[in-house]
Amino acid sequence: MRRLNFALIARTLCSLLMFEAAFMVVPLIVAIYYHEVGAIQSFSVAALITLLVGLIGHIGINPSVRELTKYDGVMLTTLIWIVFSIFGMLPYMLAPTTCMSVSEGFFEAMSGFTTTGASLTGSLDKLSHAIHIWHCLSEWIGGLGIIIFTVALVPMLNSSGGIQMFNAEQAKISQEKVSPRISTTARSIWMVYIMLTAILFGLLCLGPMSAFEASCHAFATVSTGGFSTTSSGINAFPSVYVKTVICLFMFLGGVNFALVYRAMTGKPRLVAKNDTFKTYCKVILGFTLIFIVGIIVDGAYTGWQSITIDPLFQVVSFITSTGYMLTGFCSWGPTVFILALILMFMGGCAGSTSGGAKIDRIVYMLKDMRNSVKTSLRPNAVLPVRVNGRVVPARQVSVAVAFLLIYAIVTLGGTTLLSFCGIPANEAFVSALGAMGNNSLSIADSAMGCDYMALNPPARIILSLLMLTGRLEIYSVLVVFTPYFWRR
Amino acid sequence: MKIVIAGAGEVGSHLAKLLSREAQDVTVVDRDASRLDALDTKYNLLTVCGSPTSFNILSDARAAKCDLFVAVTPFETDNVTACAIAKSMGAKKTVARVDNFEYMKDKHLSFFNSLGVDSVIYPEYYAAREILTALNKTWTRHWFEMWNGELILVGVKLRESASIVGMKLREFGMSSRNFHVSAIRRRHDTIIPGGDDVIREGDIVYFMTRRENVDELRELCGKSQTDVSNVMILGGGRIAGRLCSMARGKYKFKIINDNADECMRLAERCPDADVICGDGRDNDLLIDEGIRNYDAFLALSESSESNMLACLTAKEFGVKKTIAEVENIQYIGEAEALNIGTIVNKKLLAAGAIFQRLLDLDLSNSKCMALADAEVAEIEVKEGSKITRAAVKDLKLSHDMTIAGLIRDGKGQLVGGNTVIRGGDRVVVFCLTGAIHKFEKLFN
Repeated sequence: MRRLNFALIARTLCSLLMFEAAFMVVPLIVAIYYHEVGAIQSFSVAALITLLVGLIGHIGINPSVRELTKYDGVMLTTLIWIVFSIFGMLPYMLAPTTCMSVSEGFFEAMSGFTTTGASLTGSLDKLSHAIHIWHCLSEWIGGLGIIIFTVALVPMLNSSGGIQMFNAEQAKISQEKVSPRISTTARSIWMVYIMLTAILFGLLCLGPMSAFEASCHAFATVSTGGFSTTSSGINAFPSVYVKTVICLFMFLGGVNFALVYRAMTGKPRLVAKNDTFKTYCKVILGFTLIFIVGIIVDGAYTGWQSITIDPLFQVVSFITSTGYMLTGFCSWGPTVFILALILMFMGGCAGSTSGGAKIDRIVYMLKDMRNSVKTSLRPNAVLPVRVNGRVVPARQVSVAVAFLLIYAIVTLGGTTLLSFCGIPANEAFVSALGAMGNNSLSIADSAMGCDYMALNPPARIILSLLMLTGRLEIYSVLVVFTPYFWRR
Repeated sequence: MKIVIAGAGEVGSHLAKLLSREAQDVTVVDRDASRLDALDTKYNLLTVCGSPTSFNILSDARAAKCDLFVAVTPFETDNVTACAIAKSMGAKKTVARVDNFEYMKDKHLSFFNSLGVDSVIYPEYYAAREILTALNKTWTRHWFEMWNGELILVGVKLRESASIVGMKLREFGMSSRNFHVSAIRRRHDTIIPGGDDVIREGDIVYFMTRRENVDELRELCGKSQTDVSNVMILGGGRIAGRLCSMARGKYKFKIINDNADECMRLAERCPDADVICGDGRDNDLLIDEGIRNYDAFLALSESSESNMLACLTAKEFGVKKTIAEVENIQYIGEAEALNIGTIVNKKLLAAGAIFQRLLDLDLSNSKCMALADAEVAEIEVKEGSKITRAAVKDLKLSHDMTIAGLIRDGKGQLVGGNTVIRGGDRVVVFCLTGAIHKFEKLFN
């Protein structure tokens, strides 16, 4: 058995918990502002518990070895998401408007941090403001990643262990670093993230939304999470302006943030040269066209919006794993629904806040597939996989393709497990795929007549774990369950 | 500070690791993606894959804005070219590693400057210099002179015979004011000691002292000086060649090498040395060549393990001083614990030389020596800086550092608790690796 440095892992977890406690103060302030007595109580208790546990662990645990190994880093990255969810579920369990059980709360919190945006609250309308903001804020924290956030602030993580964790959270398929030091990189990316959120907040305030709604939607959109303040979601604001603005920022949330940073710091030409970005745009445009055809053929045309902004909004919402749903979608026909599943599988660019298998890998796979076809005709041709003007090593391509396969297998495995819990096959598949892609296309939206509320506790846990696996791009979670990880 | 390192070989990687721990902005350029991956996944730095002599790649690595450009690829022409390109782009200072001692001579420096290379380093030269010092002072592990010998740093391995073993540093300080215990290397750790630390047998203790007290120190440590005249070298490529020409006939060398071609080259380069072609790990050969009559044995072959074992063997034969080249940094701790005299590591020496240039940029002017996990820096104190405000003992300095000595008006003196440092003094600071930049502001 491999001996992990559990003392150090526990201490780091506790130190990071104090950040979560700090974040819980935000809904607490909101609760005080809106005089929501129940929420004030629940959030102050939750924040206090989190802070105390963090503080006690931070002070009480004194690990003798302070160097994180690669294995510790992977373990820590996986655990931090689980621990954040465990403490993040406290408000849901304590608040009088939600009163959730453990499995419900865990699902809800995990769905938030992984930016899935699936909810067990039933009707969102009856929730307190504090719970709404916590919903959306947790998506915003998890959007870029908990580790990348903490690496920017905690100097301790600026060592090799922190880098291990950074690597475990961000699957390394694109150049993520924008400067030599990891903390500077993390800060630059966070700056982009905060700026996008602030701009979106400003733009939404100009529209029909109140400042509170605007902030919730800004958090949930840039993080491509997809929580909303009402049960009808984005449909509660039937304005072309809101749809366009949110659509634009969901799109930006699906772009590699390092690329956005470079574009903003005076290298906009890099964007035009980036193959992944180009494919991302092409896929969105292509699928929108097919959607439009599907809508017209199915006779779902209801006005100019239904063949312009609506399908575009829906495609962007799916590919970026945001999961905002327009009311018209259910009547667009089965082809569109299947295409939506494909988009959910694809996901946005690596290094963005979106979920899914990431379009970078799809690009690798498609180029590799094209090469294999060519090779059958011209066996002697040298056909490297070329991305962004660079030849990608064959090993990296095979890792990417293997990832896609593992992704499919885990999704199918999750489907099987869900069917053991008594969920019909098609619903099990859709919800497993949604959880893996951190997309909240819920069972209700597939018009099967039930929704996440109907899940039993084991199914909730299975889906929560699938969300985590998808968010950490499989390997970091999966290796913990392999014997290689524990073997000396 | 922004540093670009071209070449992720042994020296480059070691330097990149050191500097990334020092909280510097490090970018490493190399052709080999797998070498870069190993650095990138473990250390806090940026890597750029591509040729270090390409304009595009160097501009990707932001060489134009870097403060120091270090070229340490295996090819000296590449290094010089890379430096020239980086300089033309706007790099503030460039350092190239060369393979030829001729290039290190002062009279050629202006030529290299005209090419855009500000300074050159030749690791074998530093190794040879280190070995010569060790042969000169056989009872020490390290001997480092500062400011023309006004202050001397001596590293000594203490045995039972040393009278100070078992003493608390406070007691030692009472008994003699001529020495400052700056650092203790115990097993794998380097300790910056305080008054309550006890000197133990087997420690390597670094003393700061002045020239006139060196003999007293040697007696305290229970050591005797042997004068070396016959030296046997095992292996020995370029270092041996350099050593022979730098020794200028002071020692009689016998070089044992098992490669016939290399023997011919050595015979050509070192006309005074006796070159033997044979396997130096063979005891019969060593006895035939009269190892028992030799005063010193240098193991400079490519294999660190062979070098360490060969030195132990030589000790068995009664050779007083043995020196091993240990290129594997992880082994240094083990090698020091064994009964091998001085350990030479080209990588550490080269990194130390580059470090020195870095400090030249950073602090006003300083010299530096890199130990396995500690650094010694000579720093000029600015007028009115924090360090001058009170006596050393009242400054509440961090435990990661100690001020060993200072040079005032060209005279060296040791620093005790009551010393008040003045502006314009040059102080010698000991600190653990990675800590030096924390203390910079104390002196500015």
